[in-house]
Amino acid sequence: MEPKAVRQLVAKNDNNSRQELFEAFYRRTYSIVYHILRSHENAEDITQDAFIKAFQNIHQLTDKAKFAAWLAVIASNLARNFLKREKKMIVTDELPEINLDQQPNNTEDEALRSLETQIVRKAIRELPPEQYQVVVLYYYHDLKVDEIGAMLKISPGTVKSRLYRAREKMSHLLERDCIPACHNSKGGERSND
Amino acid sequence: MIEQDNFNLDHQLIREALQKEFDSVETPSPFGKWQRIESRLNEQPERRSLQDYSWSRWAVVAAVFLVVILGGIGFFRSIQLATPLADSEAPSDVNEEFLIMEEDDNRSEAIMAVEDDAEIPIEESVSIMEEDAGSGDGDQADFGEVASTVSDWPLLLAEEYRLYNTIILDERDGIKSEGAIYRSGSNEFMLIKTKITGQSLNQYLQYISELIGVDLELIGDLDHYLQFTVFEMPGLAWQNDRFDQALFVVSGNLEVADLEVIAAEIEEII
Repeated sequence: MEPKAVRQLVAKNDNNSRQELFEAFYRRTYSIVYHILRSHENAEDITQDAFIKAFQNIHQLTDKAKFAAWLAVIASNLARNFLKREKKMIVTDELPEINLDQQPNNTEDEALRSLETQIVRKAIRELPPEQYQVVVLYYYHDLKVDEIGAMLKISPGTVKSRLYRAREKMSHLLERDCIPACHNSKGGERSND
Repeated sequence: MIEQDNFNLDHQLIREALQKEFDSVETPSPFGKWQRIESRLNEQPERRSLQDYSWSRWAVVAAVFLVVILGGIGFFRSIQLATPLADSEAPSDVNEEFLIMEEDDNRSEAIMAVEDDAEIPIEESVSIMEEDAGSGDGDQADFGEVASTVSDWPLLLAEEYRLYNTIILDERDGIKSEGAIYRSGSNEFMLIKTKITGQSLNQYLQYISELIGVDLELIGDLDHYLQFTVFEMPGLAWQNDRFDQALFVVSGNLEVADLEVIAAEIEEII
């Protein structure tokens, strides 16, 4: 959903708008929660709680276009808290298997990219929740370090250190598992804030 | 710090990997779930009235304030001192009550952040007693005296709880316990900080119980905290390498999960 449409829906904040936001962001929010909890049953509950909290406090969202990121923060925080409280009781489900892309790769580059993606996905699954959380916010929601810090109520330095550790883990796996051809740096990293 | 690696670990690759991860999860259909959320949203929010406060809650409020008042003049002095603090602005415009959930910013991360020249938000921590200081370490403060030498209490916790009052609770045998009351609306909690003595958390709670003159009921471990209640209101105690600390609700409807969040923040600061 386009940021403009999100902003309008959030600003409107009536029942229909809320339902539209819910349907637009349910899947992604559920996935984020599920990756932390690894339990479908609990992920459903926490995802619903996250939407309720978000809608109840929507007036506090200053940049309405950032609803998705804000919701991700709420959901992942709830999931982390739940995990800490209930970790002895949670029965974890298996995450879906990571397979290489089904589509045939036309070029060597595409094949390589697919392999790299596979490795990074594995690494993402191994991240502890607090690192996973900042990775999602930084790389998926394109939030700046300062914004993540403000949303999570942690210092920008802590955000950076979590990102650094997460990248370290991903780099390590790439280094270990990727074929030598992976080592052709392409650049494209987002500049640091 | 988030510099380019020697590998193709670029932004787009991580984004693609995340997208694939999201897509791979079998998500239940959102249809039908909206009604449940809608009905929960439409539920009338619980309104608290004075009648909702049980006598036990009033009792703990009274006990804590008795500690303060019996302590002497410090109470009134600190109110005067605290007034401008209560009027001060929060350092951030973010005010998401439910975002006080960052629970496990552990020490190693804080240290790492420092190593990275990161700014730990210590600007919220201020020695409010600087003007009253000057008595030096050798002075013995009376019970209930305004804390004067040790603490840098954070002015604001969880974005909304403002420092309302601070007192010295105990200075016997070189042990120094200080307390601070934080307040936001009808919610109040007390934070007690004691120089570490090597005692166990159980012993520490016993000590706190004697100090404030109320019984604490032990609940059990909660992460690295020891959970307890004071007149059925939740409390947490924990230790680090410098202090034993206890945090408990004095009034309002704060729950243990709220305290965990606040405790985690305190652990980062103190």
